[in-house]
Amino acid sequence: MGCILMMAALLGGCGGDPQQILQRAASWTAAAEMTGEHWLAGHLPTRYATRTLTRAAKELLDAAGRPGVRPDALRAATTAAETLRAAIDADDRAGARRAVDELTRRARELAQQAQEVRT
Amino acid sequence: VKKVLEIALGIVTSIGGFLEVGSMATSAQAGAQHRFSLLWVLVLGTACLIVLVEMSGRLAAVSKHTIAGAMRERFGFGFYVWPLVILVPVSLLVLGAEIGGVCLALQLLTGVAFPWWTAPVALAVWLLLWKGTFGMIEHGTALLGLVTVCFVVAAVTLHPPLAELGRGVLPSWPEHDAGRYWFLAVSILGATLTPYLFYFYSSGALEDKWDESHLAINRVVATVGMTFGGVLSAAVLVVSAMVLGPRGISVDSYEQMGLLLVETFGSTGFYLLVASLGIACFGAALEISLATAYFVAQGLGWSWGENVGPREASRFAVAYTVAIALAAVLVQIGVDPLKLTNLSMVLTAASLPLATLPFLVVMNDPRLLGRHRNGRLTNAVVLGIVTLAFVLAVVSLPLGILGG
Repeated sequence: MGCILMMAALLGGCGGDPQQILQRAASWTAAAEMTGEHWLAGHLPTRYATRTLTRAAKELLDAAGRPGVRPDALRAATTAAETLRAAIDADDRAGARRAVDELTRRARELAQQAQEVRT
Repeated sequence: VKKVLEIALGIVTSIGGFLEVGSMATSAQAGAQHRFSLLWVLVLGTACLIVLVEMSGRLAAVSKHTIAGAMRERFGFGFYVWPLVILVPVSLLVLGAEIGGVCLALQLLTGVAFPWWTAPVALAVWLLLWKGTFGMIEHGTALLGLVTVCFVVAAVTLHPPLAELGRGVLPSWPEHDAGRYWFLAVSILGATLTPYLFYFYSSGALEDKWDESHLAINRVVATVGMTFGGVLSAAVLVVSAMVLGPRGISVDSYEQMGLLLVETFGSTGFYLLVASLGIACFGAALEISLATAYFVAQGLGWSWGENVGPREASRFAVAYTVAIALAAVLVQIGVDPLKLTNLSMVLTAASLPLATLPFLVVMNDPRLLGRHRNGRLTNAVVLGIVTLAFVLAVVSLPLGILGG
């Protein structure tokens, strides 16, 4: 029984610590930014890029709804990831470039917030 | 010439078949989150694996017993049932993670969600086992698995700082996130020391009809093949530390792993990653299905063998069929494949004493191995590393749960 509970906890993912939430959010924001950069460079297929950005936006939105974190930067990062996905879908390279720049700023901000919570 | 060819094929098979979902995922996470500081765990795990693989080949070549068969004969079925009821469920989790890895590779390639791929992938694994021969399965997937050498090329191209790499080989205390560090350490040990590897190896040696003349080949293949395999895992760690770590990407999902090789190889990098993940996991899924069926069939005294065909070893064929079906259900219901991988690797590490300690006793039995039984150094190495893995697993499971 104990083993089943442990498995359920692990597989379900129960990281409620604000520092971990912010670190994970910063990681997804950076992944979205890198995906955009390499899509612009022609290194990544559009299908992979849009799917990764959809997942990133979902993860960031989830994080924004968690208790103990300031949601502003997380919501802004969510919007930037969604904007990038839409730009890639529409093959709008200028729009994608702007969204990547925004994600760069948000990734830095979230990493800084995670660092502040840790210290 | 025949011996040289056998050695070369054995080494190539070991290298091509070394990487699987556990070693790829845990190495990538370790590099991204802790740079090179977990390299020492890979070194330790690979050293122990070399010893275990050499032991299992020696047992098969000298005594004509597989590990499972020798364990049952030495301890009786009353004892054997314990490893059976613990190791088989853990193997099913690992098999689920491997099938999930193939499905994720297909998801990365096509954009179609991974649960949709479960049935076709499981069917392909089953069909190959049903129709194929041991040699085809062992060598075919391993030769294709040589694509994973691209990680070594990428690691060299990225020019990692050698002094820091050297420091990483020495055990160290984590600078941050101690819980996560030790959880990853034990995941790496679990991924490197997966029992299916050495259980599969001893059964394979019997399928290939090894005798005492193969002892030298066994020693060279175990040492050189597993060392190069360990280098592959280390290369994944280095690439992740150089590419994802500096950006703060911690590998929270397999989607993020899709970015690992694009910095080095451009657009080819994405496809190399997909091929590496897909082929390595497919090969491992075949081997774990077989290893699980070997373990059950040999323990229960059924006829077994991939070369004899399903008609002659029907219960053996049923065993791998059921194993594949159960593992596929785990993936089909949408369990996060990365979490499944991490969990199965830690549980593998926790179950190591059960997989290795009876094996050690068997390897010291003069009736089975005569003058080829284990020396004190071999026993000490295995005992030391297995104890470390077990203690770390018991400590890090709660840490992993608390840390999510």
